[in-house]
Amino acid sequence: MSAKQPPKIAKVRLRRFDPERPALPAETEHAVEITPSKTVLAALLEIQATQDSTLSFRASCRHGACGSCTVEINGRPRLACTRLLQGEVDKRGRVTVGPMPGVPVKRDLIVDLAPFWKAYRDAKPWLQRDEKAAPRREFRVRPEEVLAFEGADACILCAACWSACPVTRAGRFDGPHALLKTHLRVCDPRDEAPRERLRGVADDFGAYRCHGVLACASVCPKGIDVSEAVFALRASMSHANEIEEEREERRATLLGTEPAP
Amino acid sequence: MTPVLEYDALIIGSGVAGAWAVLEAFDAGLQNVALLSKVHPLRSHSVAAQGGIAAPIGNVRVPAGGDARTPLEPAPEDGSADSVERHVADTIKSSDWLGDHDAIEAVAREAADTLFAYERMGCTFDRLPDGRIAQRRFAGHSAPRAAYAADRTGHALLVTLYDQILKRGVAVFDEHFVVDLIFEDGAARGAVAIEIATGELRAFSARAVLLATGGFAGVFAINSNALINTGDGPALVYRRGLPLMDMELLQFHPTGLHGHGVLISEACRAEGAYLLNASGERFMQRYSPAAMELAPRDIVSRSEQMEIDAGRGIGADKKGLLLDLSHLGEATLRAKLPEALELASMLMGVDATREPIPITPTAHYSMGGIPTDLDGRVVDASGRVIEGLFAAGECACVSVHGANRLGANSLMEASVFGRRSGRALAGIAGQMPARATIDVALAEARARVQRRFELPAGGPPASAFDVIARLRETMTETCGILRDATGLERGIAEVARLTREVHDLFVRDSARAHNGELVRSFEAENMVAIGEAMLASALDRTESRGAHTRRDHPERDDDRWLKHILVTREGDRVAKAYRPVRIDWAKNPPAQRKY
Repeated sequence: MSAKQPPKIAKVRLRRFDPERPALPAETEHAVEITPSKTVLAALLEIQATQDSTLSFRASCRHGACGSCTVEINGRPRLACTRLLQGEVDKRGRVTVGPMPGVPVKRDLIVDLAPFWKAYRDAKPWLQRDEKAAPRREFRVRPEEVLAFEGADACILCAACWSACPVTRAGRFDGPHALLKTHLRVCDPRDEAPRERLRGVADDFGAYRCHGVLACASVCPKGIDVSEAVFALRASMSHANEIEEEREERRATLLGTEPAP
Repeated sequence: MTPVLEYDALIIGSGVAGAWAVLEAFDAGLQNVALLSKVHPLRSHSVAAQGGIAAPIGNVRVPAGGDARTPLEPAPEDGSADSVERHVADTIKSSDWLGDHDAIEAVAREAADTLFAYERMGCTFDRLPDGRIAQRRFAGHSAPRAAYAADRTGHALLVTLYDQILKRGVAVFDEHFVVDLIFEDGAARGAVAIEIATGELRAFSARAVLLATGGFAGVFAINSNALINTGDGPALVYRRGLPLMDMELLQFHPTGLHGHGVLISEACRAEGAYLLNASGERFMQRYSPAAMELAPRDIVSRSEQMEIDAGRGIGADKKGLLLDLSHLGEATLRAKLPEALELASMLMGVDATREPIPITPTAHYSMGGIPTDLDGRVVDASGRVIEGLFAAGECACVSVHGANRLGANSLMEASVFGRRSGRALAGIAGQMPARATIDVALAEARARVQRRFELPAGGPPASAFDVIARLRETMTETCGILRDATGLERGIAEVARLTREVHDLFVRDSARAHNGELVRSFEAENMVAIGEAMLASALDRTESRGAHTRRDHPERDDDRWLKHILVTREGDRVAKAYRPVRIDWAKNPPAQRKY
C-alpha cells in the first residue's frame, strides 16, 4: 500500500462555544467519511444530523451563492459549502473548523454580523437618482461600464473580507464590503451622487483607513479584488468634481435620447 | 406577558416576491409593514437563481435565416422582435395547458414594466453594445427573452430590492421562524415566530399576512434547493385545513451536479452545451430531435431518466450524465458562464473548459402551492377568498406554470405577483386581532415548543434529521420523475408513519439561543405535510402531463384532467377537490405539445 494514499476518514475538529453552557468543551472532534463530492458544509450537516445535534451554524444555498456559511477552515474564512472536505484535510485527515475570526461569536460557528450589516446600510447602497428623470424603457449602460464595476456586483456579502481585514478588527472602519458597494455606485452611470459618495468615504474611517493589507481580496470566495476597488475609490476622490460633471453630461446618452451617430 | 408587535401587514419570506410586496405596499402608502424571514433577506433562495428573467422586450433577435445556435443580434428599438402574445403562447404550451391563461397573461403583460423597474432601481444587467439590456435564449421560449446578469441573475435582482428596502427603512425581522399563523373569525391576522437568536416566541399582529416562503423541492433526496426550502408557508395553511393546489407538479431540472443536486444553469444549454450519455452520444436526438438540448426541462429530465434507466448513465451509481461545454471556447465560457465554471471546479474538481461536467436530474421547482387569485389573495377549494391571507412567489399557485415551468419565468412570476400582492395589501381594511386571540395563539405555540423538549413516553424518540432523511428518500423513490400507483401508495404509507412520528419529535439540544435542531423539528413537520399533499395529488392524477409522468397512465387525458387538483387535510385523510383550468379557447386552445 502506498504511503501517499489519502485518508478515508476526516477528523473534523470544531471550535465550540455555548454561552448558556460555558462548561461544555471548547473543541469537539468528529470522524466523518471522506467522499469525492463531500463539502465541509456537508460534513457539518452530517455531524449535526448523526453525531451532535447541538452543533449550530448558518447555511442555506449549498453552492456559494447566498453567503450564509462563512466559517474559518484551517485558519482562513471560507464558505463551507464551496470547499471539498478531501481538499481541506491534512495528510492525517485533520481539518479544523471554527467561527469566522475577528467577529464576536454568538454560538458555535454563528457570529454576530449586526455591525457588518449596519456598515453596509450606512453606505447607502441603493441607487441614488432623480426618480422623475427616467427613460420609458431602460437606462443605456455600456458593457464597458458594467465591466468597470470590477466584479463588485458579484459580492454576496458573506463577510469573509470583513472577518479577514485587520483594520476592521482594530476599530471603526467602513469595511471592505461597504467600500466595494460605494465603488460600484460611483462607477454606475445611473447614480447621481458620486461626489457625495466619494466625500462620504474620504473621512478617517473610510477608504484612507485601508492599510492595503489585501487580506480582503485574498479571502474573497468570489475572487473579487476588493482592495483594487478601494484603491480606485481613492483615485476617484481627487477628481470627484469631474466625475460629477461627466455624469451630468452623460445624462442625455443615459436616457437613450442621444442622436444617432 | 409577551409584548405584541403590531403592523398593518406582515410579509413572511424575503425573496423577490416578499421584497417586491414590501416595496409596493410601502410605496402605496402602507408604511407600517414588517418583513419576517428565517434567514437574513439576502440569504433567501431567489439569490441562487442563475440564468435569467423573462420579459418580451425584444432587445435582441435571431438573425434572418439563423437557427437555435446562431449568435443573436440587436433588434430594432421598437421592441417588435418579441410580443406579449408570444410569451403567453410559449408559457401555455410549456405548461402543457394546465396554466391559467389569465394568470399567464398578467405575467407577460407586466413583465416589461417589472424588468425596467428593476433596471431603474439600479440592477446590474448585462448590456448590448448600445447600452440596452441584453437577452439570451432559454429553452421553450420562441424568442430570446431572458434578461440576465451573467449567471447570477437572481442575486442581482434580490440585492437591488434589498437595497431599496434599506432605503425605505422597512422593519425587517431576520432569523425569525414562523411556527403558526394567527387567525380570527377565519381571517389571517398575524403570526407567532421564534426569534432564533434568543429562542423567545414573538407575536406579530397584523391586518393581513403575505406568505412568500419559496418552494419545497427540498423534500427530495436529490434537489437543487437551499436547505431553507422546506415548504413552511404552504404547510402552515395546509395544517390549518386550507387547500394546496397542483402539488403533484414538481419540476425536475436536467442539470444538477451529480452527487450534489445543486444546479448548473440552464444558460449552459442556452449557450450551446451538449448532453451526453456514457457512450458520448447526444441522446436528446432520440427524444427531441428538433429542439435537442433546448427542449423544455420536463422533456429533457425525463429523457435523462430514461437513459439512466436503460443503463447508459455514468459514475459509480450509473445515475449521472454529462454536460459538455468544452467546444464553446474558454473566452465565451468565462464571460457568459463564470458561475457554472466555478461550480464545476469547486464541487466536482472539473475544468469545464476542457472536460464535461457530471450531472443528474434534480428536484428543482414547485409549480404547485397555495392557491391564490391574480392579486395574491388566498382562496379555498371553492374559490372563496380567505380574508387577510395572501401568498406570492414559488409558495403560491396562481397558476402560471401549470404542469411545467419555463426557465426564466419564475423570477418574473414571483416579481409580478409580489408586486400585485403588495398593491392589494395596501388596500386592505381588516381589523387587528383581539389580544385574547393572540394569547391563545401564543399559548398554543408555546405548548408546541415545550413538547419538543419533553422526552416522549415509549420507544426511542424520533429525530428531526432522521425524519427528514427518510422523507427525502421516500419522495425520490416513489414520487420522482417516473411515477406509478404502486410506488405512490407505498410512499403514502411511509409518509403516514412519518406524520405520526413528527408529533413526537424530541429536540436533544436544550439551549435556547440559535437552536438549529428546534427549527429543524418544525421544518420536518412542514416537509412531511408537503410530502403528504404531493403524494396524494400525484396518485390522483391518472395521466401524464408536463413534469408529471405516470408509467401506468402514459398519455395526456384532456377529457378528464384539464383541471387543477386541490388537496385538503381532513383529520387523517386527504380530501380532493377540482378547479377547471381557465382557458382562452379562442386564442390558445389545447393542442399537442411537441418540440
